[in-house]
Amino acid sequence: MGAFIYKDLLVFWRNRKEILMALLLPILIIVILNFAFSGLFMDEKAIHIDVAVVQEDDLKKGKEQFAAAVEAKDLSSQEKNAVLAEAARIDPVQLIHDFLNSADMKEWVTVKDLSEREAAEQVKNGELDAIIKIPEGFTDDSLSRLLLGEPSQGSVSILAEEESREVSTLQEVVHNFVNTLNMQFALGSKGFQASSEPVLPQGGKEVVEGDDGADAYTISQYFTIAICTLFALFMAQTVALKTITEKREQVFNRILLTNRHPLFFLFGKTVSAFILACMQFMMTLAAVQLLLNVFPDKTITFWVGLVLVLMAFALTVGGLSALFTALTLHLSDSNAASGISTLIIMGFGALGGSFFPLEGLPEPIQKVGEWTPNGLTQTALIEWVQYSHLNDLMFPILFLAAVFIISFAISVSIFPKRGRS
Amino acid sequence: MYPVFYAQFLKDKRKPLLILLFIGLSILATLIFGNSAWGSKTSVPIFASGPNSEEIEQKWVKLLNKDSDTEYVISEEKTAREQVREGKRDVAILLMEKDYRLITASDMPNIQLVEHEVHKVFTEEAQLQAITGSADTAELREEIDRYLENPPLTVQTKSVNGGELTSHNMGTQLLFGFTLFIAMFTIGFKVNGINADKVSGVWNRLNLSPVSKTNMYSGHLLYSFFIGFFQMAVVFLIFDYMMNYEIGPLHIILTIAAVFTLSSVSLAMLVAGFTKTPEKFNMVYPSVIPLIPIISGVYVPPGVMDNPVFTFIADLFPLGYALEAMMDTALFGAGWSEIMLPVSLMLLIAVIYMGIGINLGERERC
Repeated sequence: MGAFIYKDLLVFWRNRKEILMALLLPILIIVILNFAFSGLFMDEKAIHIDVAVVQEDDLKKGKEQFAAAVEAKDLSSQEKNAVLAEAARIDPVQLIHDFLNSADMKEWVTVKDLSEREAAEQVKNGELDAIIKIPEGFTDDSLSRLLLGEPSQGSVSILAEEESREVSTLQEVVHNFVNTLNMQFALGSKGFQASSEPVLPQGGKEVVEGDDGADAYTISQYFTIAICTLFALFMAQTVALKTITEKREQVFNRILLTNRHPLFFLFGKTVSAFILACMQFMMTLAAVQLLLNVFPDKTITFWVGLVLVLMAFALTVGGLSALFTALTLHLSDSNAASGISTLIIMGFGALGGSFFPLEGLPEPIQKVGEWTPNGLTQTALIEWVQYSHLNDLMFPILFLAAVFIISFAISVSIFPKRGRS
Repeated sequence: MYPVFYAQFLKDKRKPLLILLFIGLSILATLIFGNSAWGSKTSVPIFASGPNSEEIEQKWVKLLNKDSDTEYVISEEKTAREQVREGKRDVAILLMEKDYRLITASDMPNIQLVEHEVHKVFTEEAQLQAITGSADTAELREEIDRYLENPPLTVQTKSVNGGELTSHNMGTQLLFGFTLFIAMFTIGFKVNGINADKVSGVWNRLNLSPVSKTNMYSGHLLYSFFIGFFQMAVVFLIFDYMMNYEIGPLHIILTIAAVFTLSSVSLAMLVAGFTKTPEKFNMVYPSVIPLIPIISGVYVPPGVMDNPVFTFIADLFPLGYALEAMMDTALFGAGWSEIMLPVSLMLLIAVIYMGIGINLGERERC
């Protein structure tokens, strides 16, 4: 049997391009993803918005218009005076300007004052992200609604070329600000006064803890595990599909003539897939850990547990490899064999969440995904990263071993028997 | 060309199970993963503990779900904690009379968004309670809501040109992204037939026949093209007519899909060219393809992937262009002239990859 394992490893070793592919690709992908995603979320503050304020509303004229509107109203002069005094205090345009130029906003928003035509030009060139336009009659409209209860509204527009991260952030910020103002106005209009200081919520985060103080897992840990398991699955297919070549080049028939039990062929494939998957895990983890320090400050226990689960997964990979090998020998059409194994691998990959996260998908699909070998490994290891409870590892390891036994049993049973051509 | 094409068809016709399974599962996968009906709302489990937990849950669930893109669902404390613990949910919220705690196990980026929103709701409620001086704010809330129906200040977003600013729709993007992505697998699977023919000796026999090399390649590639295009067309027809998604004018979308299929065939030919055997192709192709949508930014909103190195790599593959063209058509009503650029870039990719691929495939095999 040793000879068979040696043969399969040798076949792999002879093909350097393939080895490099199998061993370097996962490392490369993890590094790429790491940079892609760290660039994504770490420098959230790096967002910078260039915005122009186009003010078409003439403040003075607005106030005059409002004053005229008040005069025309059917109110006593005392009330009129009160309203006008109130109006003199509130300046909606100024509120918006103050907000945009406040110290908080200055850090990431640059405000310019431009005419509409100039600003539109710059938005189209991409120099500006958006325009905030305060239209004519804004002061009058908002004051009329505010103080006279008329149905008019002061409406600010955000003008942009197309939706982008900058525009949506700006939209959100301005919306929030306006909502807060409206809320204040609403309370003010009813003459409500806080009878006591509001008891503000404290909020805060509670990290779910294990007994020994758990760590939160990071997104890079998540996809390190996902990519590792996914490429191990590919490994199962790679090893098994070598059978097609061996069938084509009569290697299998020659082995049959050597008076060795043909099942040794299957054992050879299984064990070599297991060994190769293990090697792949070790190299990927070592490289990723050294390059990116994905699992910082972990104890030996953690690493032992990680290796144990991955070994169990490598066992499953061996089982799958046996299954695909037997399938290839069983089916006369080798294309069908590779097609079916591709479907199985892709199915596992997609359902197990190795290609993309499953969170948005309906519950049943997520449930199925948890029972794929890679999905289960993923869940188990994410838990292990956080809590390091040895008990949590028992079930996944047993499950993965069971998958190995079942697929190995199936492959032995469909392995071509004696007398079959 | 025609006999080669027909031979490929006959192969599939005699053993239709595999190709039907492949196309069927691809369509199913696209419909499941690309279906934008789910995933539009993230749901966050909320729970309270203590004697009057139900009351607290009922009170907050209404306030939290008001004008929110996130769906807050009341759930059992135990299951919620379990789900967070196992990484199935990023965050759960423990509600209290006047306070809250986020329960989380990761530092996923969307947690901040949830925290922001929850904090706002709680702060607002606290202010209202301070005003009424009691816990019952329903009446005050109603009054304020009535006032806010016609608020003094409003904000609206418009396009610079005066029209509506069409907001980006992540669901549509995923729908197109998955359709294109999964079609690449089917296409690769068929293009691999060239390698299979080469190693089985069929290719050599064809070489001796009067059929020219050009015709041999074009027969194979045309067949791969038709299979790939057929799959995408079925998916789009289902999305358009049976599930009634807004995917824009079908003739433009299908044109883009056809050009995309062409350049994907070329891409598969490139991989087939340097792998030379079907086994190696099966090893390289499926491990490279899943990377393309990640780099092309299919899974994230546009503008997020702005690392120049990645953008450059993404530009080497047709997926990004096809997605961009389809999104422009579906959301922004782009016409023929607007999609010309991405379409011609895809054609360029098709020409270059096809050239390199066939060249590599024709080199002496070692």
